[in-house]
Amino acid sequence: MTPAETATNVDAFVNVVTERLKEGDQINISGFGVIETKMKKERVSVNPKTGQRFLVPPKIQPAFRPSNKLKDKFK
Amino acid sequence: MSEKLNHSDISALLAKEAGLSVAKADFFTKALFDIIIEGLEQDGIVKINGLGTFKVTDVADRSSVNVNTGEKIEIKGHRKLTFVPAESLKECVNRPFAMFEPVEIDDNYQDESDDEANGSDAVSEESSENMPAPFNAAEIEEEMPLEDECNGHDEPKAAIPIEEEQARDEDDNVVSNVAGPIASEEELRVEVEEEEEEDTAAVEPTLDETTDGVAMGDYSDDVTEETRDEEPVNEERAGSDNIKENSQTSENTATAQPDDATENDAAPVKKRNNIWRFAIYFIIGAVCGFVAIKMMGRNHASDETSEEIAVNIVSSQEVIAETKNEPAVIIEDSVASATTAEPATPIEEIKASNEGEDYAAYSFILVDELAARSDRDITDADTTLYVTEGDIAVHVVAEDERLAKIAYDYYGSRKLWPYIAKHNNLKKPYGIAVGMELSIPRLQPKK
Repeated sequence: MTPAETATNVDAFVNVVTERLKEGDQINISGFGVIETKMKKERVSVNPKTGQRFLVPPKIQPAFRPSNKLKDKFK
Repeated sequence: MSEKLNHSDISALLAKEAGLSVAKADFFTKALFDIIIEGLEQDGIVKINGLGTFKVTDVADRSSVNVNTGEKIEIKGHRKLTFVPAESLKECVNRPFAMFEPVEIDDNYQDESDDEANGSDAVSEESSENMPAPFNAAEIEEEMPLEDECNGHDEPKAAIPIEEEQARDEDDNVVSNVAGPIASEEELRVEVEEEEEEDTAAVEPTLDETTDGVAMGDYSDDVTEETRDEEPVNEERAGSDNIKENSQTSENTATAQPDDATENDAAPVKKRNNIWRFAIYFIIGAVCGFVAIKMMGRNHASDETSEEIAVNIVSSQEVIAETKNEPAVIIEDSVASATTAEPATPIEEIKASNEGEDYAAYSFILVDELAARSDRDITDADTTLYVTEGDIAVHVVAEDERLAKIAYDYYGSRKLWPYIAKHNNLKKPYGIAVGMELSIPRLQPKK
């Protein structure tokens, strides 16, 4: 596998992952962790300097949970 | 939706996407994750363009408390694997909520002071330049790291750390890229703080201006609204001052009341609250006016009475000069009795008017009134005429006594006092002095 091939393959992999995450899927990779999306509810944030309050809208964020095996490795 | 995809599923999808065989795709994904883990072990950071950054971070020691026993526990520092998603991935995932943006919350009355500060910022030219700083501060802190990392991605875009050698080559760039944004971020924060300090300095004078009630057309809507709010307050103070003045002096009410009216007319009626306030002010003004009119009327009346008392003194002096029987001291006493008689006269007038007597409409002054009556007929006071037959008693005039009161004491009617006056040869204006002896006649109805 040449470096150019690997680059295209990585791009393809990233595309697959984003497509799946867009659909709300979880990607479980044993020995590595879980890549998933998390729904964050709306909240009120306050600028501590000016005291201004903002309503931060709800959003969906990608998240990664490392597996226990990986966690122990870096502990 | 929300399926759980495992390694083989990803491999199959990747094979479809990249046009590889399933076995090759499976091998590739395994190799990819192995390389990521290796890169994390060796360098502590792996970036995959379009996906995000895996990073090993240090967690410092921290002390905690055992919830059950209350003992203090020291949690030792360790290393943790974190993942920061790339901006593009975030955007893709968050597409359902992409149209939302953080909205500034309009708080109620209490937080208007903050709005006031910002409004005055927008107004003053100096602070308008610094104005975006506080807003950007929040955005910068949130977005800047991500943006910088995205930019950092763009530079090593061609060489993604798939293989270890490439990864090592890239890590230098990556580290420098990471260090760059952090430094710039710190600078930004420092700048923001400085700017905000300037802001606060610039805000204070503008605030003072607004509190002074300067309502210029240049101000923004927020400020004008606040000045509108301030106007009624000032007016209210003015109104209360006017009320106090009214209570103190009646003359000031006449001058203060028109001020109220002009203020009411001049103030803009733009809010419903203002309408209510103006209604209240109008009522207060009306009450003040009523009180003022009454006070003025009383003053006027008292002026009249004082003038008439003076006239009475003169007349009584004349009488005394004619008769020469009474000592000069009586002059003062008669004045005193006249003045003391004055306060109760309205009551008498009312009673008389209730009786339907024609003298009811006469002046407040008892002395004048009595004189007028005695000129016509002494028995005008009652429908029945009486004849005096001897004396009941000899009355010594005490302080605060008048003929009407004495008549009331002996006969039970105030109107029968002329008989006493006639019996004692008193003449107009029928002054009596303290210590003076009056013989009280017995009255028999005349048939």
